[in-house]
Amino acid sequence: MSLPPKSDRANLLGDDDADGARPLVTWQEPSPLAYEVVELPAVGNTHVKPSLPPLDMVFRPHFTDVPDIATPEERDQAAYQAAPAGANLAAAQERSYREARLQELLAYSRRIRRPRRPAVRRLETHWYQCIVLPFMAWRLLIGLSAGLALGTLLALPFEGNNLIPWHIRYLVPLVFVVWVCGYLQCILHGAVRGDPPAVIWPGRQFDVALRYTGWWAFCFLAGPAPLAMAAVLYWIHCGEMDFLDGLILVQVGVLFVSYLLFVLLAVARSQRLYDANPVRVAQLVHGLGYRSAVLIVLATLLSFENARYLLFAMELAHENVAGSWVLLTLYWLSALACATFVLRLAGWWTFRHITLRP
Amino acid sequence: MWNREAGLLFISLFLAEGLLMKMPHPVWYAVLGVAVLAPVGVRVLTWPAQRHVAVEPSMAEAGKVLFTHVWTPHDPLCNGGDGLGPVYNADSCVACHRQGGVGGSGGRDNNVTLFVRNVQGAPAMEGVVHRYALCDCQESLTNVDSSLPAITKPSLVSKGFVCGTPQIVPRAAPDGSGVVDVLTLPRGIQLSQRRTPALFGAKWLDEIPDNVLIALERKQRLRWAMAPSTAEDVPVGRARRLAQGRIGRFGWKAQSATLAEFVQAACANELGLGNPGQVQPQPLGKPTYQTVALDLTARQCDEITAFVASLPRPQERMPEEPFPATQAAAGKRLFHEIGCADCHMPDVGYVAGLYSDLLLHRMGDKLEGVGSYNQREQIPDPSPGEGPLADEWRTPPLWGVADSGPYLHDGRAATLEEAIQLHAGQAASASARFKRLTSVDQTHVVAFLKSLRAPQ
Repeated sequence: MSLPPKSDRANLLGDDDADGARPLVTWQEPSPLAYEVVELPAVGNTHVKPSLPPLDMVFRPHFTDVPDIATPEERDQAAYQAAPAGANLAAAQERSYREARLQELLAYSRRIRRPRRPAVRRLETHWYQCIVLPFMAWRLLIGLSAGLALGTLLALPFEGNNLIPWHIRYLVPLVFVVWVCGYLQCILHGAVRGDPPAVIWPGRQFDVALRYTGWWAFCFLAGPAPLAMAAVLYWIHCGEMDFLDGLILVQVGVLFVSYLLFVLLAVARSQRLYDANPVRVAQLVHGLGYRSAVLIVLATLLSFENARYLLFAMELAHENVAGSWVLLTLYWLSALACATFVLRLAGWWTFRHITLRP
Repeated sequence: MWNREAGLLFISLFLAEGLLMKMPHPVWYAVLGVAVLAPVGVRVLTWPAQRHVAVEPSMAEAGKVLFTHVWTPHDPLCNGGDGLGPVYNADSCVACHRQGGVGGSGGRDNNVTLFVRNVQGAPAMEGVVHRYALCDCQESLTNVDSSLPAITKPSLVSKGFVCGTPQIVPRAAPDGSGVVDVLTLPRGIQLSQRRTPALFGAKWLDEIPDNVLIALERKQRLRWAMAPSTAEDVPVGRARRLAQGRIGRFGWKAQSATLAEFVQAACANELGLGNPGQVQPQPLGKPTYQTVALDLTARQCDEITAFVASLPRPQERMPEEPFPATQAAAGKRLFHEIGCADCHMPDVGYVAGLYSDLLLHRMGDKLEGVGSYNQREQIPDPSPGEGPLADEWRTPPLWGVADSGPYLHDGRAATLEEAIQLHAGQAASASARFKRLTSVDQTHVVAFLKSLRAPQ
């Protein structure tokens, strides 16, 4: 399915003479590939045409005494009768009419404020197109990152933080965490549903964000939490790290990141917390095939790099709070952008290769 | 860093190989499971266990003889060596380790003076200014720098000087009654003193596995949001890494990893008894002194070590009377509440009642102290991960603290209250909380500390 041709500029300018140029919008029966139906709003080109006033009244100021007559033939006849004697009325009338019409049309087109043409997004057809979404959401990501950085500094156990009331120390970070979970769940939900890429987040619907945060907490506790605890305990007690310790920690880290990702996918796909179980996760991994491995490697690499960056920023926080706030903001920006990309990609693959699979 | 990246590479290659081969799912899962579980299995089999070395009574008895023996030049127990000296701080182990019984701590009069010389035009070195010497080997501060007076037994009360700047060190009267004059040190010369530590329960410290100390270090970092050990505002310590990856746990700067090393270093530096683990020091004024032979054999060192290992551990003895017992119990609660237990942890591994984490902590510029027992030509860079910083001290175990005054590394604090108030750096917040306590509560904390007694 393709977009309508762009040759209908006369239509956009309101030229009624170009009869028949407006494309007909015909609804098609939904095909099994639902994402093709999504492309139908391409006809949206036509709805941005502003409604112009009657041009005949505007473009002939020297014929103001000519009444508004219904047909062009009657208008021309009246003009001929009102013109001075001896004038080459036919050529002059035609020339003045067209020039005036053109000038007024241009002036009018400059004066009016056209509504911005809504961006028509199409569902991704290649994996790398998912990278666009973090860039589309850059304003939101920067805002959330700055808030999360502030929340991180508030929640960290600095010696000076003891002077801050506890409800400020912990509720402010919690609010931002709730928003972030809500945003990421919206991204994941839209992707697994097959929606075209769009920046969606709960906004003022805090209850929705809170519900999504509850989902994330449940998904975290339903599998990744023991892995995270095991990794931390092992790191604490393993002594000086050697290759074997590093390998074990990497393995647990890969399991943690990948299981969390697939549990979230399973729940977002069915909208049921019941699906946060290993069987559903295994089915999802089977369904995605080799893409599961790609997702695991990608998510793990991005998570590890971001974790290293976070450790660096937290170490700096003990020496330079302002500098660390900037670093933490950049960290959260990086982490949220990576999460947006990975979740979009994972959801899109799930929709395309599992939901649409006959 | 390399380990992690290598692990990631391994996982990636493994996954890629599996994908290319298009293995069926059961095989794929089996191989993946083996790959995941094999490293864990190997690690479980090689997990370090706590060392339990039983002390042979005969070795301990022989070691007691050596420990209490008054050594003399060309001592008959020295197997052909030159015996005591040529420079030394005491003539027997028990001369210093005597408070609370044989093996206890020493008073301020037994302090050891350490120096660091890092001036232009002279080789950098560090070492000990010994109190006593034989014949013409007597050391004095003049041997450290020619501009210093020829003080042979310096009694320093070092307060408030900063490393790298000229120091004005008040010099105390020999009886500790007060400051008699001041000693101005030139730039590049630093002096510091160390008090004799108690040896009770040293075997328990020796048996703590290295990974327990590293775990303490990581727990503290995790608790304080991954703060580095160089932070001066939060109590995050670090385990001192010695050569070959061992973790130091004995000495004020955690400079010895095992009790045997600690004993051998003390025999050489304090008594001038050269042994297989540590040569005897060369006199500062006579660097050409020729050592005849080792004074102690490896077996004699083992015997002394066995005796020290046989010393019982200190105990927490609450007063029997109800009122003092209540005070001590309240003090114990306050001890934890005000944050003393962040570093003076009651239990380390399987060792209960230690009240130390055996990690290096920064204690502020008022408690700086440099120098090392070992004479070295090159002074190591005092950066984290290598030698300790000047204000880094190993948290001393508080078991037996009631019988080990005076306090702090050079005995500058006569009382426990003074010692707590002199804590700074990473312990500044706990010290400030102690100062904010009422006098009654402060008394309770001290009452608790006085219940930590040397073994009877």
